[in-house]
Amino acid sequence: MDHEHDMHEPQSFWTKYVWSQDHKVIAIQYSVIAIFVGFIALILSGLMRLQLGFPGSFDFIDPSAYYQFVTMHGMIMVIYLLTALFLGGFGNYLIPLMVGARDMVFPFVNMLSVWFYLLAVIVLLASFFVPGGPTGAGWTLYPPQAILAGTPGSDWGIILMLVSLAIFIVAATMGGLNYVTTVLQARTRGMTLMRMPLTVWGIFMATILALLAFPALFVSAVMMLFDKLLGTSFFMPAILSMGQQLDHEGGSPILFQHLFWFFGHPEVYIVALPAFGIVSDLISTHARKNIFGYRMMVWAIVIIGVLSFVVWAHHMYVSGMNPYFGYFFATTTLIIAVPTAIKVYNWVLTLWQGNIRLNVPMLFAIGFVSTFTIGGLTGLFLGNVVIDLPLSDTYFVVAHFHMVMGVSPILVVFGAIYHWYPKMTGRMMHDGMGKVHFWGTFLGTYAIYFPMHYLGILGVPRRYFAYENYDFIPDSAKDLNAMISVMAIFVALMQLVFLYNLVWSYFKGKESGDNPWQATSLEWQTEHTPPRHGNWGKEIPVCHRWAYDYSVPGFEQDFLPQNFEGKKAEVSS
Amino acid sequence: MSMHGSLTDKPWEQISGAAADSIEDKVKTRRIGLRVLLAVICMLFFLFLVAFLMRSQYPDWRPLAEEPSHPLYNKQILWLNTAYLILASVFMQWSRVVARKSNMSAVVMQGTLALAGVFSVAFVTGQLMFWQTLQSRGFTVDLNPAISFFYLFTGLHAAHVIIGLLAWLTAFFVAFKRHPKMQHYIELCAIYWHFLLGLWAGLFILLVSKPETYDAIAAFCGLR
Repeated sequence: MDHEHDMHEPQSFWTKYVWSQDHKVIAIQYSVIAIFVGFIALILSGLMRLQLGFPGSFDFIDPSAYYQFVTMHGMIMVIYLLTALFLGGFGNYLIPLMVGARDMVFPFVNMLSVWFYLLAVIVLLASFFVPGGPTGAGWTLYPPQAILAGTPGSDWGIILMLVSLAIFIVAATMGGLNYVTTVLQARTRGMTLMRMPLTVWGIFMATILALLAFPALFVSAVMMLFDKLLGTSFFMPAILSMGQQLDHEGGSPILFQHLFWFFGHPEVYIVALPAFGIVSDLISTHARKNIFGYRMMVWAIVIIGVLSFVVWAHHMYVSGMNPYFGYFFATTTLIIAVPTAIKVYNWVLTLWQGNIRLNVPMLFAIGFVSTFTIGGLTGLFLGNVVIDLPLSDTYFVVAHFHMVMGVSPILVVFGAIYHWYPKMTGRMMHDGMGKVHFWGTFLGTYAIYFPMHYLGILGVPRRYFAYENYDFIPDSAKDLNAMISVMAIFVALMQLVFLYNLVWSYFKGKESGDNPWQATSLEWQTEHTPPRHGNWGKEIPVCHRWAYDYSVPGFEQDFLPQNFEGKKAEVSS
Repeated sequence: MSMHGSLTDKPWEQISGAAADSIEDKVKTRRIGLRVLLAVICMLFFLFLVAFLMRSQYPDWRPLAEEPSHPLYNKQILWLNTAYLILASVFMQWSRVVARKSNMSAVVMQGTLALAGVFSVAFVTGQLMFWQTLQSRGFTVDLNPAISFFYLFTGLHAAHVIIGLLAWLTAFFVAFKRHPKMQHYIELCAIYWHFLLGLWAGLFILLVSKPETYDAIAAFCGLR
C-alpha cells in the first residue's frame, strides 16, 4: 500500500512545529517544557541548600520562602519533570518508532495532551506571582495545614497548585490513552508483546499505573478545593486557627493521606519503570550482549506495577494506624524488593562478560545501577515499621528517596538523551562534555546524598528551616551540611555543561548516521535520520526477531536489527 | 469485541503489516481507546466511593434520604432526571442499531441521535434545577459531608455528560453529512452513554442508601 498520499504531511511552520500532531514533535515539545521547568526546580533546590549550608547568610530566604522552595522543588521534580519527561517525552518519541507504527493512534488527542501540559505548567508557575506566593505546604499538601492561614501561599498558591495538578492529570490521561492503545493496537507485523524492547514495556506499564493512580490525586485535589473554596469538611476537622473557631468540623486528614499515597506510591514506579526499561536497553546495546532474562524482566515490570498499588501506607507508619495495617504494608513493601532485585541481578549479569563500550549513555546506565542499589537498600530499612519510626522525618528519608527516585531516574534521563539524541537530531552529542557531565553529576550526587544518611541517623529532622539550639545536633553536622550545599551547587553547575552540550551539538555535533550505536531496535532502522513524518517512508518494517540479537554466533556483524529477516550467516556488511 | 478478545488479539499477524491502517482497525482502536478511558473514569469514581464510605463512618455524618426533612427524601425530580438519561441511552442504542443496518433509514438514525442529545441536555438541566431547589431549601454544599458528596458526585457526573455531549456534537455533525464514519461515531457515543447511565444509577443508589448500608459495606471492606 502506498502511504505517501494519505500521510497528510503538514506544510506550514505552524502545523509542523506548533500545532503539530506528529508524535516526534510532540515528544520534543514535552521534553523542552519538562527540562525548562526542571531547571527551575533545580535552582530552587540550590536556594534551599544555600539556607541549610549557610544559615542566616542570605536575607532573601525567610522561612516562608524556604517552604515554598521545598514544595515547588518536590512537586515539579516528581510530576512536571520526571513523569512528563518519561511518558510525554520518551514515551511519545519511542513508542511508535519502537513498535513500528507511523504515529500514535490518536494524534489529535496527543496534541491536546501537550497543550494541557503546558497550561498546567503555566498555572503552576503563575503561583510565583500571585499574592502570598506559591504554596509552602510540602509536596504532599497535607490538610489541614495546606489550606490554613500560617502556611505560605494558603490563599492563592494552594488553589493554583491544585488546579494545575488537575489539568496535568487530564493531560496525562489523554497522553496515556494514546500510549496504551498504540502499544496494544498499532504494533507492526511480527512485533509480538514478547518481542517489544523493554523500554516500551516499562513505559507501557508505567502508563497503566499513571492511568489508574492519577485519579486518586484528582479525587484528593478536587475534594481539597471544595474544602478550601466552598467550606466543606471532607478533610478538615474542627479546628482553632489563630484563636478563631473555623467552620469546618468532623473531616478526616488521614483520608487525604490514604488518597494521596494511593497515588503517591505508584507515582514512584511511574517514574521508575520507564527508567528500568530504558536502562535495560542501554546496557544491552552498549555491552553488545542480549539482555539477561528478558521474560523475567518483563514479568518483573508487571509484578512491580501490580504490587505498587498495595504498599501505599508505608508512607504513613507514623500516622497512628492500626499495627496490623503496618504489618501488612511492611510485608508487601519488602516483597516488592524481590522483582526489583531480579532486575538488578539481570543488569549486572548482562554486563558480565559483555563487550562493554563505555560510551556516555553506558556510563549513565551503570551509574544508575549503582545509585539505584544504594537507594533500594535504604528502602529495606525504611520499609520495616520499627526501623522507620525513629528514622521517619529525618534526613535519612530525604537521602533514601533522592537516591532511589531522584538521582537514579535522572541519570537514566541523561543516558537516554545521550543515547537517542542522534536519532532526534542526526548529530552526536559531544563525548568529552558528556563524560565531564557524567562524572561531575554521578560523583557529585553521591557526595550530596551519601552523607545525608548520617545526618538522618543523628536524628537531624527534615523540613526544618534552621537548626539552631538543638543540643543533639553536633557542630560537625553543620559542617557536613555546608559541604553538602557546596556539592549541590557544584552538581547544579555541571548541568550547565549538559545544557551547553545539548545546544552546541545541535549545530556543531558530529554527524551520526542512521545507527551510530549499532543498535537492533526498530527506531534505528528508519529511512531518514531524524525520521520524517510517518516515520518509515513507503514500507512499514516487519519485525522478525526480538530486540536483543547482539553478538549472535555465525554472523559477521555483531547485531541483527529487528527487521532483519535472514536466518543464516549471510550478512556481510 | 470482548475484553478478553481485545487482549488476546494478534494485530501483528495481519497481512497488511500495518495494524491501524484499515477502517475496521481504526474502529477497533477507537473502541479500545474508549474502554481504557472508561476504566480510568471507573477508577476515579471508585476512589470517590472509598472516600465516601470512609467519611461516612465519622459521627457528623447525616443521612440524605431518611426523613421528610432530609434533602433527598423527595426524589421526584431525580427520578424524572433518571428517566431523561434512560431515554437518552435508549435513543442512542436505537440510532446505533439503525446505523448498523445496510439499508438503514438516515432520517431515523439522525432523528434518534438528535433526541438522545436533547434528553441528555434535559438531564443536565434537570440536575441543575435540582441543585437550585436544594439551595433554596437551605441545603448548601458546606452543610454536612453527605450533601457535599451529593453536589460533588452529581457535578462530576454532569461534567462527564457535558464532555460526552461534545463528542455527540461531532457524531451528529458527521451523521448529518452522512459520512461513512458516522456508524463508528454513533457506536462509541452509545457505549459511553450506557456507561454514564450505569454510573448514574450507581451514584443514585449510593446517595439515597441507608446509613446502615454504608456501615455494612465499610465493615465488609475493613474501613470500620
